[in-house]
Amino acid sequence: MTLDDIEVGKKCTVERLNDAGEIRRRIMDMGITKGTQVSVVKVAPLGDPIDITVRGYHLSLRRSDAANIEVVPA
Amino acid sequence: MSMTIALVGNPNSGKTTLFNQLTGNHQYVGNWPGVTVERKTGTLKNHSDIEVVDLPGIYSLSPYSNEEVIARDYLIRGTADVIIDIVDASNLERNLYLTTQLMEFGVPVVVALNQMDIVHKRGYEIDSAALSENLRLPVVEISALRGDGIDGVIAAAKNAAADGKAPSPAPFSPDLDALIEHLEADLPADIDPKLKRFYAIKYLERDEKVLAELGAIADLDGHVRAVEARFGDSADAVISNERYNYITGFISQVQKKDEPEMSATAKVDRILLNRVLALPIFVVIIAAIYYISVSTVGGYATDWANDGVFGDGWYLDPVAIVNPDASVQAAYDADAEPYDEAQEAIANYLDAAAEAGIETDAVAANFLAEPGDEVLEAMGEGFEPDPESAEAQTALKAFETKAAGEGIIAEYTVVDEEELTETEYFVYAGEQNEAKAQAMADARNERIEAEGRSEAAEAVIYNFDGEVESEEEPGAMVPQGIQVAAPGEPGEYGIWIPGIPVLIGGALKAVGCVDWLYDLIMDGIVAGVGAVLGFVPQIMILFFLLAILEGCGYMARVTFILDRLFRRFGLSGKTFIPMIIGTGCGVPGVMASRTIESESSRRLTVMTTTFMPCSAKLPIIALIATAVFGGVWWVAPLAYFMGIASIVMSGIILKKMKSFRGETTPYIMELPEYRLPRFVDLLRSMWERAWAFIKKAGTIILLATIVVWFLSGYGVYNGQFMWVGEELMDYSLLAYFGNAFAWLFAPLGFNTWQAASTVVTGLIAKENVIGTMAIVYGGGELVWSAEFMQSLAVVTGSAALIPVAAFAFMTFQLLCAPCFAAMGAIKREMGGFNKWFWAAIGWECGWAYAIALIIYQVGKFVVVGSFGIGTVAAFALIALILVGLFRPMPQDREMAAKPALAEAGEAA
Repeated sequence: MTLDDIEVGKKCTVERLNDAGEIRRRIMDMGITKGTQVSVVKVAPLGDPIDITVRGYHLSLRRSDAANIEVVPA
Repeated sequence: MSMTIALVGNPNSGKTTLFNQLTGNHQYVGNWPGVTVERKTGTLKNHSDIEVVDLPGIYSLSPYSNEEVIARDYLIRGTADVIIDIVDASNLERNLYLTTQLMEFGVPVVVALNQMDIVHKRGYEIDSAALSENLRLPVVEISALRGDGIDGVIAAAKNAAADGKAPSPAPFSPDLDALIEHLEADLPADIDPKLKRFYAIKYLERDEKVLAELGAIADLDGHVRAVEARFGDSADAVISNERYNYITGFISQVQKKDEPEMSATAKVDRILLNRVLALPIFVVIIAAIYYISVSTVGGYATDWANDGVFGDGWYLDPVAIVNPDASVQAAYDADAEPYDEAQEAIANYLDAAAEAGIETDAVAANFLAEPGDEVLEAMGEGFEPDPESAEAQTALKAFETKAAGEGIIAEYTVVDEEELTETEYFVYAGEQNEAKAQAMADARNERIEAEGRSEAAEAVIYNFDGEVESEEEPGAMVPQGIQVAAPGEPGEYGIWIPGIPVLIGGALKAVGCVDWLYDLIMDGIVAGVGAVLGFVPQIMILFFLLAILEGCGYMARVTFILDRLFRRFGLSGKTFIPMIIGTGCGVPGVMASRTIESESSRRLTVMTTTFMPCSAKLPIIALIATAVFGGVWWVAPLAYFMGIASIVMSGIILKKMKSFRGETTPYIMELPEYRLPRFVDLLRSMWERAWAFIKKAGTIILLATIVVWFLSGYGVYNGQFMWVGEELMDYSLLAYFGNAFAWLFAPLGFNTWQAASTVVTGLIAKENVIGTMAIVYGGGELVWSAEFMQSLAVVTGSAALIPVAAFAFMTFQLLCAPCFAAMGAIKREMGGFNKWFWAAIGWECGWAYAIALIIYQVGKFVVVGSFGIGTVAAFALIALILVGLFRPMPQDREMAAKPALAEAGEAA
């Protein structure tokens, strides 16, 4: 299961990050690392991007990038 | 002792606020990640030997966007003696991530724990002593906003710098630390021991810059593989994980935080980011900003400034704001308007009579003349006009008898520029002619009806000397013509404050200023600079509202709302920030593009941001909207819409060109907590930007108006270099200059030398467009704007084409290359006068030319049905743009693989 599959209002724990490249590095810098708890707060009006909370703050990222974050629902 | 302090921290952590506190500077502060996009330097207040460097906010030292490169490059150079790391206490975990990286530079670090007030508001505590103990760094609690703890942080920074001791790097898990130590041992020997761990970690992360510096070393690669084998993940992921593990390892000792209840921000977001309401709310907020600042409040403010302060004068009358109908101005107008109407009727009637050979001088001298008129000289030495005198009354009677006897009817048209209506007057004298005048007016009204213009035109009769029954109050008589009494001086009606031109003109006359200097000051400087300064109130309102928007935290949300849409155009949601900033001024707008990570999207944004009408272009919009379109509401919104449409269409077209293709733009954005901006900050932000505008008016625009005035005043006539003045301005140097390339604008409908020269002076500063027009057409705003329209009628060959050509003129001025200051910003963002810079300027000018040409040629085709080469060109351009918009994304071989994958992901 990946982060973009998580419904709004649900929590999950990050398993691993797929895909190499800069964007992956950025996602990790922003605090989405293995074992981190993430909750999906909102979806933008046009369906993308999504608004999540991680480490106590709000972060928005696109579904296509969320699809590279493997998670376990909590 | 002299030293350098570097301010480092996450975006939006309050660095710039702290920088302002430390240095006493007023750098610009906002509430979205990426306000500071340049490195700024100042000296510490009261310590001129201590330099403070404000770096752009960064999340990490693995450079990701351009602003992060700036920060990192500075730190690697090692010129800083101490780093003050600003940590947002309300977002501790993520902020400390950067701290763990800063600890590896071998430079002393002081942690400034900011925004503790938000922590307290949310009802939990942070133990800064425990934090200091765990990090083994000095930690000082501050409030950058209120200025608390600033002395403490300065003292700590001085101590740390004097001590010079490098921080001990954050420890990782024993396994990883052991592997890193092995790697360190194999690093080239000449690396500073303090920086060995930094290099080892960067090597593990395969940091491009460090790899390039060290070169690939076979022994080292073995270490990287060892780490990856041991942890089962790529080495850079391992490092990121370990950094966060280090932080989470002690964070519970430092902050006692329960599961948060719904925060105020979340509550606000429930509405502002609601799936259904978000877009409508966004549209309303943005529309409201420009509606208030451009159309309503800002519009009144500009009218007051242009017609009052920089016009004849204005009444100090609060009633006017609430109820204009009950204002002093309205009372004055009620007296002044019938008088002006009567004066016009008398003048026209006298002209008509004079043409018929009737003597009019005595009447004109007594009833019309102003001091200095020629007709007074004709009356001889010592003559004083006095309508009450027996001589005047006798002359009037004699004239009336004669003119009435000959059945003179004067006929003329008055155009109301605001309402865009025409009134045709038939002026008669003597009761016996009333029926004749009425018959002429009736005939004219029938014709107006037949032409279908009865909404906008009307024929009326007017008595040269008499009374007519009032329409409003049956039975009451209203004086007409000579019977209408002159209004009193404006000061008799209320508190009248004369306009600046009146005051300056009066003062110059009083001191006996020589004529040429009087003309230079009044027709050059006061007209040119005044036309620009009149927009200051409007611009202040716009800047104030933009400051609220930027300070409250909504800006980042807008990128969230719009990202999906902008991605379709090859742009990122973040493109919207430069667009909004660009409506204030293009220079910070272009610079704000630095937060966009993808190089090609960033370049696209730099190229197109100045399509948004900046505040200096507002006067152009206002001119066209009021003078040409009679103040209709849709011109200003249309101007902004054209800006947005130009950006979007350019994005779609250019994205398909090879240079801009590839890499889908990443979008990862922090959504900051909402903050209520402080009123003083809003005022300061507004004032600083408005002051920059005023300063520009007092310097570069002042200079430009003087040059324009000289160039338009002097010229070559009959083979002689001489003062040509207003009469012969077509022979002025400026006219020669403008004519040299006015032909370029023939397909756009404004190939006059005046319009062509405003295009050039507009490059110096867009405010010059209006300033130059005020000088070259001369007279008050109503006069010169009418002359501008008249000149368009001449070059287009039809009065019906005035609005079309004027609109094309506005479009070209709004979209073409920006002023030199903004071009300088584009040059910096593109990295010099390279192909990107010229591509940007070329695209802007080409796009402006194409759109203005389409508007004029298609408009001409529709309005007067003319079809020619220009029309063909316009339709060809439309076809070309449509092809650019709708052709499929070309696929080259080397690009095919990766973007196709990314797009498939998007589609899913």
